[in-house]
Amino acid sequence: MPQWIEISLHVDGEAAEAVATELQRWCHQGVAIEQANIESGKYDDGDEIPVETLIVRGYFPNDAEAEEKRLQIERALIYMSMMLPMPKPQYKIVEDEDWAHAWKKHYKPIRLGTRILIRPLWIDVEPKPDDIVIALDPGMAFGTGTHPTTQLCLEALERMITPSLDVVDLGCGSGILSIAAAKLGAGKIVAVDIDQLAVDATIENAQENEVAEKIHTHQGSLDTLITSARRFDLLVVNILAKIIIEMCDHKLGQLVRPGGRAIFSGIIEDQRTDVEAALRQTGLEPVTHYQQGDWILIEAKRSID
Amino acid sequence: MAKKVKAVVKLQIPAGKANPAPPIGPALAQHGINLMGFCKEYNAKTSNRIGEIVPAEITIFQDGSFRFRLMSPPTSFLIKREAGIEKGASNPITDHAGTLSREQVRKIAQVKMDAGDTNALNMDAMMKQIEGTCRQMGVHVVD
Repeated sequence: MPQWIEISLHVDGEAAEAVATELQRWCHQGVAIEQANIESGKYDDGDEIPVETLIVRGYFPNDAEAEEKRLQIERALIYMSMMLPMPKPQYKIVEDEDWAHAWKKHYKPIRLGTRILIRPLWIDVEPKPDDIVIALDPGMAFGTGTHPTTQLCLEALERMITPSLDVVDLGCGSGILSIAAAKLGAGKIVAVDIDQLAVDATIENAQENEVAEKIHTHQGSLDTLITSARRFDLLVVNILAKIIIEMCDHKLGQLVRPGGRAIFSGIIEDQRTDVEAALRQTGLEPVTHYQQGDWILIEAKRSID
Repeated sequence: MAKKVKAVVKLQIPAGKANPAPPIGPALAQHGINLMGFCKEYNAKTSNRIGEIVPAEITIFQDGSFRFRLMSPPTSFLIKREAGIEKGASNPITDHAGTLSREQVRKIAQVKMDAGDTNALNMDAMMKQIEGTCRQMGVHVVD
């Protein structure tokens, strides 16, 4: 199991910027700066919270280069201490699993649409007779059912899936949408993601939900699918507006058979017109859209000819 | 009733690339918020700023919900970009990492003032702060 080294310093506002800059250089993907003086519940939403002490935290892998990074950071802090008061950094070993586990504790069963009930793998539920229960271990992949973009998709699937419909789930993440489609009665489902972690999560979750024989999961991209020349009754894309628009430039619409339908999620309200324009370019006509908070789901159709 | 604040965390991370690895995972998971939800929303809102460091200030409430706002890039990032340098001096007292004109400092100050996420009251005060950061980085400011 990989480990991380956490380095943290308690500093004032002025020093925080300098320390963060230095840690940013050596630590993995940036830094976190937390206000240390907040007593939970003391302030209401909207209150001005005074900035007194800040905790700057960075992380680097506990590997062969860790000691060298630590020395570089300490050297930089010594120079900084000539200009600003600078405390000694504190170090802590952090297991790679810790935060994934911490997040799971807060993950509860949720009901979506009229019949869909999503439960974490580790929690038992008592479903109603016609409930469709999806058991999910989101692992590190996206798609936990708690996000509006996923919820909009699940509700759309509940409306649109009819028996033996062929579905493609592009950017399958945890596999939640493919599994829902399978349980709602779809025919064959192809689930694709460029991330191998997501592919593994989908396969495991499909087995856990006893729908693995209906879902063909593989690592790949839009291009792989276009080349395969297979066309689908329903295309499901829950990614992000920017990627949807990019895929439209790569013949995304061709995945849908003439007369077939598609749903697109992961779109913020003010990106809707751009996405709709891109969809038209690739032969998909937006039919309607649904909204939850800032998020939009667009339903589109490919014309018969 | 207003929501009670549990914690305020600022993440300085590359635009469009948030994922559950450190620093985001450990920083947010300890407060029990939806990690994937944050990553997805952050990436959606910063996808047009790839290549920049775009800080997000996250306010976490006692009920487990959260809200975040994007901020202007860190001053040091803007200084490096404007001066065309990869990094600041390791020893800012003896080493010279690069040079900025007063006009370039003003340009950076304008970015920070426009974003409205600074405590500086006016342009002069903002420029003084930026010059202070320049000093810490070994970047000289010339007229």
